[in-house]
Amino acid sequence: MSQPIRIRARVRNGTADVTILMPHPMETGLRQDESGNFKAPHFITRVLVTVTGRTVFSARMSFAVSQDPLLNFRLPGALAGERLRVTWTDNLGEVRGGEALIT
Amino acid sequence: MRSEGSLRRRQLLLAASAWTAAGAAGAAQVASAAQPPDLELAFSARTFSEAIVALGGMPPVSTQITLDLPQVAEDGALVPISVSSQLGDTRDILILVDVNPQPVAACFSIPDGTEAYAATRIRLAQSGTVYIVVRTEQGLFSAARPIQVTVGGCS
Repeated sequence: MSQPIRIRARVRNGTADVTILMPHPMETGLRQDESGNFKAPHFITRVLVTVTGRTVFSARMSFAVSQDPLLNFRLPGALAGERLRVTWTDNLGEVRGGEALIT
Repeated sequence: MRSEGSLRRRQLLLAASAWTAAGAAGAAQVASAAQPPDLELAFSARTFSEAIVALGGMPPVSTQITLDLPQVAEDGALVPISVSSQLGDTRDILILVDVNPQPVAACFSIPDGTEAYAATRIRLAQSGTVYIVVRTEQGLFSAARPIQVTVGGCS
């Protein structure tokens, strides 16, 4: 969780291919520890992606998304040098962001 | 407010039991007559039939939706999936898994200018079917693929 969001956004043939990796346990609430107690659910619920302030992608997630959620999507017309920003919120109200320049 | 809520719940339950009793086709008719699609309600559904009822019944299948998914997944905790839609005005892409304790895995919103494509990795509790529901300006459309899971990804 302390690890930063990893973002790769590269323009190829006029379209930016964006891959985002968000380190997060994505606990389902269905897993038990050694003593048989269920681990509390802890998962990202929303992700918002903007480019120069404009929303380009957003997601709602349940705990059925795998640990360390990966998102890949494409932005036609995005330009190298534009700033892409990612913000996630989890079910415990934690918010985390990261950004990268499109290359 | 409260009675409205319980009425809605009762409708849901009724529709859900109709689904179980009458099978997919029957429930789709019951549900589409009952209420318009509600993506929020589908997201909070705890069973697949409840989610489909919230969507107003199983949407018609479209060949304009491409779903990439392995036929066999060794590890249900990490199943790569990618979806693209060639349907015009695609607004939302939902991923549903019929065998999961929470049937809607994710919902991606596609604003104007973004390609109607998304890829991620999801969990599957066991072998089942992955459904994609795409919301466009013209309504909802679906695609489905069965998948074999060797080791479930929930516990």
